[in-house]
Amino acid sequence: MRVLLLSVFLTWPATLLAETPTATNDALAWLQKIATAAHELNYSGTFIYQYGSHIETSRIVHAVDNSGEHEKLEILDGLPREIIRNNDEVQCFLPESKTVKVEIRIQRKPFPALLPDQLNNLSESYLIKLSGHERIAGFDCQALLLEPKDGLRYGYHLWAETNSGLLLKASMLDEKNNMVEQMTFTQLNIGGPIDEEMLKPKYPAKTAGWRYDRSGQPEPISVETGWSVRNPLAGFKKIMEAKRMVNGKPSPISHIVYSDGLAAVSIFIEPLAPGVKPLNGMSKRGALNIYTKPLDDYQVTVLGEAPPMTVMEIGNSVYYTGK
Amino acid sequence: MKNEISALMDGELDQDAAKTALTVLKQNKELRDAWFDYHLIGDLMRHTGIVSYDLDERIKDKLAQEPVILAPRRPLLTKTKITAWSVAASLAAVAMVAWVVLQTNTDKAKENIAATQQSNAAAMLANLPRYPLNSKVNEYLLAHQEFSPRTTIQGVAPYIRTVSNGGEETNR
Repeated sequence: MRVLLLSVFLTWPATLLAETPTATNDALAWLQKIATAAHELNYSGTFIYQYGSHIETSRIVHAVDNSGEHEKLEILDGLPREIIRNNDEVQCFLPESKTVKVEIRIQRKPFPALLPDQLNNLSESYLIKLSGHERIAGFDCQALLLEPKDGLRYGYHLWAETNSGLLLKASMLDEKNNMVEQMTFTQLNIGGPIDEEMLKPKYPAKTAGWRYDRSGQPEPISVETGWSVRNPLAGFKKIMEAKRMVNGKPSPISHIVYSDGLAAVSIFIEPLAPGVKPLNGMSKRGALNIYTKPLDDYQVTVLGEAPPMTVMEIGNSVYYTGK
Repeated sequence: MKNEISALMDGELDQDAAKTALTVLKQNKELRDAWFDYHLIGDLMRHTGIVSYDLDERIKDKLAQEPVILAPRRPLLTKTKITAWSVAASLAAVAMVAWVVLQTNTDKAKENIAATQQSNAAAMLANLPRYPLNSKVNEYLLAHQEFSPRTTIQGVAPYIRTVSNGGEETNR
């Protein structure tokens, strides 16, 4: 009897908190489908990126063949820029400065999908549900809503093509439900062969006068940087910690990433060069918030697609563990 | 943080979180006290027969603080029968009440602290200078993007953030 009473006492909050599990599972299955579609389908189209009063059009091409995944993102408005990804290597072409930045992925994932861990993590921080059907760029789409359970993260409204699961539109919303940032296709072809030419950079590789910035020599993932976060925010778990090279930095930088399954926040810690004035302040681009602060002889930069307060608080709890 | 200590005790923290909790625990006397309290409560609830805290010290302290009552002592009631069950039941009840009280108090204190911290942080955020994005940060944006789960569900599209021509937003 006593045991029974105690167990009733201890378990009732859990039963109150439980949501309708099937609805959440359906929505999680959709997220999984979206992740798979993004990496396994051929597609090409035009999409719009917008935040505040800024609107920008880009062309995107994605193809999968025997050698893996190939993607190209080309900005069509303003200064021409291109991003080309071949499996683990990302090249960023900046014609105005004749520079190619090359970034090699540290974390090689054999299957580009959301891991079960990540999905569990997600439902800890968001209420995830399906929210009807809508037409985007001529395609019937399943809408998904991810409502944050606290003010530490943005909300998401996602639209995925009903048959393939390809993500056609994504909005991020702040706590007042205002749009923070949006990416949406206006024209799209799904499936079918992709012409190789469409995936090549416009700027011939290794042209004279172009500079190749090659950063990110892959290093062991589990390297302890000697830095940590005193009070990790609810739902944010460390997913990566490494010392790495970053373009334009003479010595390795400590890089730690926290994520709640959908939003990621990176912490970069670099030694301050002598005579360099440290920065302390905020920057913002769409859903990205960037916080910089000095910490002893180091410059801490925290950035991620999370509200400014979250980014700042993570930055303020960085400390040196003394290892 | 007390919730984390409690979770640490129950083995519910992942390796990283446990490490952080232990570091904080080492530095914070109040949390160390909470750690002992939780163990004490746990022991009482589990009836291990071993109580893991320097109870006598605490009782002595409490007694020292009690006012001295100069009154004749009441004669002890002679109890005819005490079953083990009733002792156990009352112990469980005490533990339960202690647990509830502790929980309520820490939650309240936590809320108060959180509210103060929140308004301090908001003030701090409002006072921070706004910088335009610079090329130095763009390098970091590129390094960050691969770890964003958005890249997992959307492919290369979110990289637009790293090369966008859009400038700084001035509105907050």
